[in-house]
Amino acid sequence: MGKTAGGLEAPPDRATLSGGAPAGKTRCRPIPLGLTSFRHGMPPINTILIATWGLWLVAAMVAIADPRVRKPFLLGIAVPGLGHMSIGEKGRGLLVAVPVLILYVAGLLLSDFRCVSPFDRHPLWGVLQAPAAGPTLLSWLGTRHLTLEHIGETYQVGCLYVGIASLLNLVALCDLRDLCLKVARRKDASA
Amino acid sequence: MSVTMALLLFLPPFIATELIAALPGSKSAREALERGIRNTGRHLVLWAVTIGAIHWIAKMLMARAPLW
Repeated sequence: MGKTAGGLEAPPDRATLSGGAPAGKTRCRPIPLGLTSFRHGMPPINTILIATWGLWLVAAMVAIADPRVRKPFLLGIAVPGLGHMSIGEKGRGLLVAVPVLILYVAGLLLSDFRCVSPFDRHPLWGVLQAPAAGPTLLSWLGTRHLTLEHIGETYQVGCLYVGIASLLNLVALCDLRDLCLKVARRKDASA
Repeated sequence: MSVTMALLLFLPPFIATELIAALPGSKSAREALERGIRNTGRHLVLWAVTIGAIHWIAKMLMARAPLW
């Protein structure tokens, strides 16, 4: 790492970064993506992925374990808003379905239908897209044969749109769980 | 991407978030929709004022002592 004429430190050359290999024969060491990547100043991507998928799985299992919530919850995951409609809350269901689905489709359009790929191109975005499992599964199955030739100007915006739509479905699912429990409590009280 | 385009792209997720965030705590869909629309307007004004203030302060500071 040398000093330039202005006194500023020049960035380390590639040889230094790749573990001291001589210049010209650059050999990049693969950076491990487990907990060990902390040592390389990188976020532990694999650990974050596994932890978040685990969190989703546990949360879904807790919700499904309650028979009062099971059916609407599964419907809400499959199609945003359908869970609300299945318990008689049609207005609320529409209020969930319209913004979430519009945002989801707009995201797909902005990213040329390439932003949903949880096990290939975008594992991190895939974690965020999990709460809207139905549309995500459908989009993934429909677009998995596509390849990413170039990243357009609105590509990242599209990814963000789909991620936001899916997380909004998570908020709707929380509201659905509360509603289901409230309806069940009311039924118990009247019985 | 132009600033206008960026602002336009910012609006749909913002409105959708406000509408769905109004659901918990509302007794009916109508109440949620009204709350969502009201909050969208209110937060948009708040957001514009905050960004405007930051922009104005940054411009003023840059006029006095340019950082870059």
